[in-house]
Amino acid sequence: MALTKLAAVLLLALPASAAPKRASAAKTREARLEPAKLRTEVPAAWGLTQDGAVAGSLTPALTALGPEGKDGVRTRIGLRWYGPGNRYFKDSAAYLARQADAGPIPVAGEKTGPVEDASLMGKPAKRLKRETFETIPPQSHEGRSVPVKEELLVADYDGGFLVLELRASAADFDKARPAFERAAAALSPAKPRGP
Amino acid sequence: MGPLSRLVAAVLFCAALPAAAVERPVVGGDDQAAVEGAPTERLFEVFEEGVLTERDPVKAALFLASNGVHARMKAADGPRFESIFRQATEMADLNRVLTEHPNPGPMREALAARAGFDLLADTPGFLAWTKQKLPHADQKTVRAAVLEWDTLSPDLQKAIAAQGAKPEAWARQSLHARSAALAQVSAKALTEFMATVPKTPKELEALLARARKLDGILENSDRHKLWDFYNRASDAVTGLETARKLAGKNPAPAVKAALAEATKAGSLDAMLGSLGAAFDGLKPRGGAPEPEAAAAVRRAGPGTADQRFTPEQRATYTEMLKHSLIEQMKGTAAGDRLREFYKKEPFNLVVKPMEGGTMGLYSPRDNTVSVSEDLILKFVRGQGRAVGDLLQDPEIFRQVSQAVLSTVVHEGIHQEQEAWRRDRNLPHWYVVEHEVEAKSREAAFVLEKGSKDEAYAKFMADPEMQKKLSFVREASLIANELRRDPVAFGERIRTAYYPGVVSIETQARWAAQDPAWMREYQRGIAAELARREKLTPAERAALDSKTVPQPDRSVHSPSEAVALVSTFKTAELRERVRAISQYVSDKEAGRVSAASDYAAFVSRDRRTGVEVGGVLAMVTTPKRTGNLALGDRGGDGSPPPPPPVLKGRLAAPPPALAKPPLLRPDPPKRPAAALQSTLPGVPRGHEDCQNPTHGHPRSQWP
Repeated sequence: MALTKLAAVLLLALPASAAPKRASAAKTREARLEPAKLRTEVPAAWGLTQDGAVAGSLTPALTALGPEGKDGVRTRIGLRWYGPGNRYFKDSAAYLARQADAGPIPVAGEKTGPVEDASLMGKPAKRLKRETFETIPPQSHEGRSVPVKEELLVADYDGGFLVLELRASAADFDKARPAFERAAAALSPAKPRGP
Repeated sequence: MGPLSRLVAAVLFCAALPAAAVERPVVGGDDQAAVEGAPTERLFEVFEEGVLTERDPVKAALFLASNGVHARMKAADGPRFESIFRQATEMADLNRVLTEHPNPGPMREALAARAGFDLLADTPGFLAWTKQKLPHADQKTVRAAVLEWDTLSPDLQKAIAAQGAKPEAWARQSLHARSAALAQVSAKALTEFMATVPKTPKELEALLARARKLDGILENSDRHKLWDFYNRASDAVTGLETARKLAGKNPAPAVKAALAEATKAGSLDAMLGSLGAAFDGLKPRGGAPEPEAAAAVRRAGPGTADQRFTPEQRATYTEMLKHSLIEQMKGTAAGDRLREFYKKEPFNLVVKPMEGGTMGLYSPRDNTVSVSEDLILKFVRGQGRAVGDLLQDPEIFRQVSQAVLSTVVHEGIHQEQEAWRRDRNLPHWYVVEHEVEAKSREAAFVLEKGSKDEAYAKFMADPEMQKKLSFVREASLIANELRRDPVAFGERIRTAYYPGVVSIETQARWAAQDPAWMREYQRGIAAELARREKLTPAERAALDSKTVPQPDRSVHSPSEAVALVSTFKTAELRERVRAISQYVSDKEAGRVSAASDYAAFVSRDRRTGVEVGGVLAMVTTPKRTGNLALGDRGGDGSPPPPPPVLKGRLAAPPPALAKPPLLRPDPPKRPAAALQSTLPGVPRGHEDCQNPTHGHPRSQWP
């Protein structure tokens, strides 16, 4: 029994980053966030990285990394889940409050917009936009400060909350938004794996 | 010192290795339970089939995640276990490299630097494997990353052909050989680029176009040089335009002469120097501030003689800074932890020049924590001050000490990591996870200090200081990124700040290198030594004086490594033979365990999140009331004043503190250390990193 189960597990286990299913649209591919059991679709040509994708993790994260723009900033679409009892934020309200709070050492010139109502997976969500900077190359003596935009969608999910984020240089942001909107539209609970 | 210097380079990230960020594989509870319940021999069958025969990264991921069974598999059959472990870590690492990098350049560097990886020894075989087993990897990108001829631009094909390469022969060449050819072309192109000194906006635009082309074929350390040069050139051209406008039609003779010198300058330093002189003559009256273009020229330029440290000034300043920093760390989780650490370990602070992009450095060779003199002096120049002011003016001293504080905390954390390895007899693995740890704790320190120390927060939040001091700008950026989203923070640090640093999996793969590979390499070295023994001592000495290390390139097969041994000095070759013998002996006797070391490093990585989370929970909202207890702020809230200075002369340095020995006694010789010092291309400890890399500007712990 154990052998059969093991064989089945080994034959059918499909870690999210290893063998994603091709989405019906040729230009996107599925990305699964485990163990949060969420799926979405990201541009097929983008790189994909996962963190915390182990059983019991309360903070798994997935990032689709786009190509570098002319200004050196890489566009990224991130999906993160902060599970119930995670060590960082009590709930989505606490997360949003932290985004809006300037903190003890604000970044000069940064602007954070108001929290707005939105929807995600057919349920109420919140949207927040920010204008900030990246130094290219980071920490360089002579690094260029490149304007960067962020857009976050935050929604309660499975006892915790999820964050879907787009981050790109100001020059590339509008070009990247369709991919972000597709990822938001495709975001849904993932069916369990296995036979 | 070809592959070995690559070894150093990889550690130093001079050969910028794109992020092989840690991906702990997805393993659900059921999978693990199934594996842990299976008989040992069955596990061998399944994993040998899946990992060694099928080369399936899914099975490799499951194997690595199932560390609960590693001990019994190893006890049952050590060599069989090591074989699976070696291939599993290799596949996990390569999977990560291929999925994380949509651009061929960083992917190529990452692949080229994976010294000794079996899958990379044969390029067509590697491409076939990625196509079959990694369907999500973009084949166009992978082919470009391994420099397939038809993916090279016409210009590059022409330049490589000029070196004697032919397309038909290229198809059979390994990635190692192709990378070597590319490195020759790109080195020449970079030298030519940095000999160009633009004088007009049009020339600058042309330089930018060249920079963008070159960017795609350079290794990360050279990308830093490229963009640093371009940005300084941009400051120079803007400065020249601004100075001309300010000078008007009838400039003063000194200004006219300086502008003429700037226009015909043959080097960027000379141009910036002359522009500085021109702006001296164009200073606004009534103490009004200079235009930003003038300040930028001064920051970028070489400065005047009194804006450079003498050895005595550097020594005095370093002592002053050291005392101040230890005091300022007090009252924070990271700072107090370091203060405790430094009660037992030496705090050897060094202020020294560092190349563009490096703010600080920890070197285990001499156990020193260094900060960039260049950045400090850039600030001094930008303020129009001299080094003497840094030693005598409490205000500018305080500003710089507050600016560098978090950098020193970061490097101190690396020193603490080194002591952790030493005390547990673990190998010197430099991994990206340690950079993420140091960056996380550093960012948490900035937040905590900022929430408790109003003067520090005010200084760090000052827009002018964020503009003038890289240390301040970076500290505010990372502190806010960590504060807002700690989970996203880790990923960004890995991929944007340290794309060149290998992961725990890479190091584990190297540490599990096949003894047969090492023996073949050793035979090659022995043959070269035998050849040299037949030379006369004079001939041998002449050979050693003439050997020039091969440029840093990784090797993937023993034959590639052997092909480079003639470039090593004789003493180095003898040391390698000895170290390899020890490694093979220790491996065969079971005295080294890559899997145990891997588990120890993974465990530390997991703990970091817990500890940083604790600090963040404490610092969720700023608590600046202005009435902070003295204990919270580290003394009276401002740095201790510098020692009294005799007018016109430097005071004697403060009395020397009782200094613990600079170097701790060597720990008992650890077998893995021998491997780490001999495997071609594998990072070696005990070397200083002098070459920063794009995205790896700091903490170049060798």
